[in-house]
Amino acid sequence: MTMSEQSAEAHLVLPNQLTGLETITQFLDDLAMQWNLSATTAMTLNLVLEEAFTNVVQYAYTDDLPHEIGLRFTKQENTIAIELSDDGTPYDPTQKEDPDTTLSASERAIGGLGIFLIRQMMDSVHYERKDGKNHLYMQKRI
Amino acid sequence: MEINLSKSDAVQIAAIRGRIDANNSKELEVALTQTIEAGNQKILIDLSGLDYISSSGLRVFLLVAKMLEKNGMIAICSMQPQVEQIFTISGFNNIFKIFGNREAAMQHLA
Repeated sequence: MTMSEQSAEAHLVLPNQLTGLETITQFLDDLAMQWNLSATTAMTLNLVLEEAFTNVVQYAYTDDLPHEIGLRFTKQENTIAIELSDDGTPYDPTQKEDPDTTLSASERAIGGLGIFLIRQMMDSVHYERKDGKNHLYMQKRI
Repeated sequence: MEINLSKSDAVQIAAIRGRIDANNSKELEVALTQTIEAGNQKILIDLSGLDYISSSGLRVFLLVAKMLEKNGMIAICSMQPQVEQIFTISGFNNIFKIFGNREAAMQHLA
């Protein structure tokens, strides 16, 4: 972790296993202390990272080989930016259609809320395919 | 996550504490579907001890709502603000009857 007066950065590399969720939670707890983030912000980041990370672990890989999923956190004065990168199948989650949240239980489809929650909870989300990897950029004002 | 099951008259109460995430949501799904399949048609979910829920937890709640839609009833009570926010964003406040405390939820199910 590097710190300066204006900005700070932190990195985390995880294997493509759901057990990485515990590591993410622990890492965010530590980061919230060091960067003085509110409990609400820390919970929001935990949620969006769970959704994005779980999607990659469950759907991005067509082989059984171990892969690395990278997380990069950047804190500016008023924002937190997160970049999640993976070498899985090209997939742009920002193109996914939002679910209709006005439907009744019987009309609602099971699933499909993860990416919707990311878009709702963060202030900006964008995607890029670069150097053979998916990069998901998410930003939140703090 | 802790799931505490208890019964009050004809109402099956499930008090869920801690976190519901992709690692443990299956455990919740099994507990709730088993209790419905055992014949419990009135379910009260007490979320006063729940600190965190992700889409994997919402998926379980929707599944349970679908199971109970025809012949059952479900109510949720005592959500913490950060959990309620996730329910509201997802439109689950339109699907579930949500109450501020257990007594009000019990009255609804009575």
